[in-house]
Amino acid sequence: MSIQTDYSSLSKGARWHLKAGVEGRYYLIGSSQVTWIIIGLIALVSGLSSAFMAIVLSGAEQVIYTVVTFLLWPFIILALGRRHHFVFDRHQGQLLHRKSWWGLFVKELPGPPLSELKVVVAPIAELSEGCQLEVLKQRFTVGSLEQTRQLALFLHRYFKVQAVDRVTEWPEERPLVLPVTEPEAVMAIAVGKDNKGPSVLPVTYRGVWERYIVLKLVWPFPLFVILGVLSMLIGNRGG
Amino acid sequence: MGHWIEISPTQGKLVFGRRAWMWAIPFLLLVIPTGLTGLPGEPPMILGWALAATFSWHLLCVRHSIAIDKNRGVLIHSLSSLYPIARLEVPLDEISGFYVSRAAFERRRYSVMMSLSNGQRICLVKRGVRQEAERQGQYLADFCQRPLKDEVREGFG
Repeated sequence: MSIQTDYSSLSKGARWHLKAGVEGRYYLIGSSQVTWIIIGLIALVSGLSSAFMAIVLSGAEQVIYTVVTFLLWPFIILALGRRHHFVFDRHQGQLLHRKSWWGLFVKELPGPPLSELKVVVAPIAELSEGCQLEVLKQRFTVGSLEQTRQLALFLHRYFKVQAVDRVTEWPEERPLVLPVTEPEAVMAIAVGKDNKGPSVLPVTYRGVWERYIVLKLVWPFPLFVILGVLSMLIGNRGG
Repeated sequence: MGHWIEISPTQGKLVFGRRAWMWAIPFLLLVIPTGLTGLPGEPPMILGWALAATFSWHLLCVRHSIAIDKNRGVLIHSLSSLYPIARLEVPLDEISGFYVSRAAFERRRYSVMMSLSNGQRICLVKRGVRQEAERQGQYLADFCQRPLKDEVREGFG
């Protein structure tokens, strides 16, 4: 089975982070690019509205909005064009930091060798569900444990990185190994055919805060409404 | 906030909101005299009175605790207000550890979470101050002899 077919069997969340570039160069998108694109998109919304105002308004207001538009647009183009990729280079056996701006001014900095690179399947500590992949202090939210494992195994298979699991024996880390040598095993994990994995939860517990607490807190309310009505009736009879 | 009570070497309890009843006093001073003298016959007044009464009921009666019972080998997280509201019972064998993390979508708020051996993560204490959350986590972790990890990440939020 080729790398392409294995890649296409990855989950949507995994393919959102791991992109297939030209010449089979797979890369992860760095968090600095994501931050800049978010800032750029926010600026784009304000940039578009001020451009619209500059067209429809007249007089001093038009001048103000034109100035704002001209100030914002260079920033938008700068911010949206930023690219920061972590390229898995199989030929050189190295991770490359590839920085560019709209595909121009490409700068490739060498990172650690792929054999020394550790990809960690980690829990999203803030949430009670979901897993993420940690690579060089960058975190990629993939989805479920199986989907994250699948992505880590894919990177391990084709790029010989060290895949580590921190979920099943939290807080200890242990190496993530292919359950079966056949590549179908990776597929089996993807579609959930593998029932022996740690993903099968024998008992699921529901935390106190995950239940409908507010509904139970209002239980005394109807009782007090009845008491209130009684108090009103008695009070009126007396007065 | 959280107060640790060690009942015996095998039983420990983290109790919350022990002083909540104090806040009930002003409400009771309002609710009891008005209720006894008779409420005016307007629906908004009765509903408002019932709301204040419900509020004081909960302030007076709410019990929130995380109890560890080594004899039975369970951790019990319970919330009640004379009647049970929510209860979670987890065998101690299934707890792999505790950790403090940033509360989701909130700034400078931290939660005490519990990690289970099946990979599940359960929130025990929500939205606390960091030192407080670490202290509560430490009590629980020490008593259960499980690790307490710091999973707070610096960055956004």
